[in-house]
Amino acid sequence: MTSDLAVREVASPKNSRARRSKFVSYLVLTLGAIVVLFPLYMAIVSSLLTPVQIGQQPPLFYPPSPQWRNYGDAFIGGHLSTYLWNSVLQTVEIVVGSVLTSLLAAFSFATFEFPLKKVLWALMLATLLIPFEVTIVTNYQTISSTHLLGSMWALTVPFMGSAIGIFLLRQAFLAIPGEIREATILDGCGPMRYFWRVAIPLVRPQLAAFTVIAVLGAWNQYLWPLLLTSNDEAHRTLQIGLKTLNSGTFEGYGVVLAGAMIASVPMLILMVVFNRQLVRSLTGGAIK
Amino acid sequence: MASVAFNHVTKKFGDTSVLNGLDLEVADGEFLVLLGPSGCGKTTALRMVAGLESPTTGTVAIGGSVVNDVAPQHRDVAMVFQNYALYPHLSVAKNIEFPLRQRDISADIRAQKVRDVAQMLGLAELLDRKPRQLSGGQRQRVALARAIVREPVCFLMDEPLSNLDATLRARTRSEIVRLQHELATTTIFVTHDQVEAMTMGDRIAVLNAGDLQQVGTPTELFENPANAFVAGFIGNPGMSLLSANASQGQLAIGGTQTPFSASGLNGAVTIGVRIDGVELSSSGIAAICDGVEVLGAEVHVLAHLGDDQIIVRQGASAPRPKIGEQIFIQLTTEPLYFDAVTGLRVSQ
Repeated sequence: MTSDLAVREVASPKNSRARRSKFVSYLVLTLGAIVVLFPLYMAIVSSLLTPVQIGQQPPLFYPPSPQWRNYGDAFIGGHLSTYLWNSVLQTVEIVVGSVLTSLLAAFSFATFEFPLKKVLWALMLATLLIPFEVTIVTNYQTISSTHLLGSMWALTVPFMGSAIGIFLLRQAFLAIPGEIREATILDGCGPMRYFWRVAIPLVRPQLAAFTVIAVLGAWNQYLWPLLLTSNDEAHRTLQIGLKTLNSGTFEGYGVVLAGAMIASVPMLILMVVFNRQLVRSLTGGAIK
Repeated sequence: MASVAFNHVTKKFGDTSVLNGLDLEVADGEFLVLLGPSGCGKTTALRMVAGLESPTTGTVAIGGSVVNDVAPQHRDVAMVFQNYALYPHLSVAKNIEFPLRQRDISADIRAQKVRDVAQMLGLAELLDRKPRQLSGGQRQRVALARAIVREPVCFLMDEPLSNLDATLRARTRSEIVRLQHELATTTIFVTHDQVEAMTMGDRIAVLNAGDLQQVGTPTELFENPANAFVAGFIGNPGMSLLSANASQGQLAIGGTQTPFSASGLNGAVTIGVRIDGVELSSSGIAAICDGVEVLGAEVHVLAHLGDDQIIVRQGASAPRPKIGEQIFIQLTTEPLYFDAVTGLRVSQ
């Protein structure tokens, strides 16, 4: 009994401070989560409302009679199935292309010595500072002059090189201890065998993170596909397709929001699956 | 198996000279230790044999053939790195098998070789584990296994024991020596630890500031150091080096005459005395006690005479001097003599 009391006396102030600090942390995190999730919740609710219910004041915070047909209208009537497939194709092409080119370029910058390496690296980094909008006209001219307009390649080729990908992966390759590279040399590995068998497996977390970033970027593209597919329905992507849902074919925002929900599902799944890799990569190096 | 030879090898990194004309031969099947302090060029010399560095001038030969222009993978040497350099994403078995996979060796033979080497090094139970699931000693053995499985003509070991604790280091030392004797493969072992060098090497090559100081068996280096650097570096503790003066056949240290004649010597001289060649006394050479190290059965008294340091052994039960106290030292055996300027051994 005495020892219990003694322990409680010693531990009590520390424990209560820790509890208070934890409570404040959770309170702030909960408020943050509400701020972030509330618009999403309202979008889900609105996607299940009729046009009249959406315009109602005060707004409804739950669907009294969920309008599931909004989802059917968006998916079938709004041709979202075609646009979804185009988006998937576009995303896969961009991600495969940018991951491959980034891996190879990053490996070269990290491993080899070649003339003008520093200049090329600086130039490559400088492209991070140029907004895509600035390059849109020249990109269009390039795609047009190479006769890629009207094909899926037009949507994907300009994005198959990624400065951020090269930067992320170069840092990852540089972090591999030099002794491992030297061990592979003595074990008889050439550079490419080292690249495939040792280096890539060792940068998997950063590779996964970049893949997620590339997928998100490709999936959410708007300006470029809008420019190329405004008159090309066959290659129209989901984000542009969503805009057509709002062009008067359907009444109210319920169908548009249902379409937006459909568009976000693949990304939500991706985030859930790769969440750990993404966080690990973005916080990598913070603590040794 | 093959001999290894350095012929007038120099190495410069920019303006910094790391090796200054190294001439050294390692006999076929020999265990040679490259010993020296940090930055003396021993690892650079080893990396030149591996092909990971090129000599600025001079040649490196393996098995009688100059290999300066031969790529590392074609030199048939295996290296064990200080930090093991295991492939973290591969299991122990795959790590050991890795060098074999790069050659045209059938899967059956590969598996057999991996099993044999794993058995030899006590790794049979660990073959499915990843390196992160192993202790430091086990990782060390995997690194050794990866080197052994290739059956190279020469093993190169770059301070492979430096990350192990003292007990494991002692055990691994004898294990490496046993393996080297079994395999009779030429081995060059780099270390800055003279205990490792003395206990493992058939011969030791002592390097300092890029210069080869002496090559010889551990006993030769211990008993007949070629210069003051080797004398101070070899042995545990190394020789104490004291400034002395030889005049008219007498040797004086700090103004105190010693019982040893210094015939043939004149003027300033450096003497070297081992710990068992000096004792504390009630009179003799005056020194100031800097500290006392209790090592169990014996005690080492650390003292200084002017700028020179000396270590004297004492029995565990003898009264211990205090720090700052004046003590007196007697030489009990004749010291070795070194030139006060060049540090080279001089004979009477």
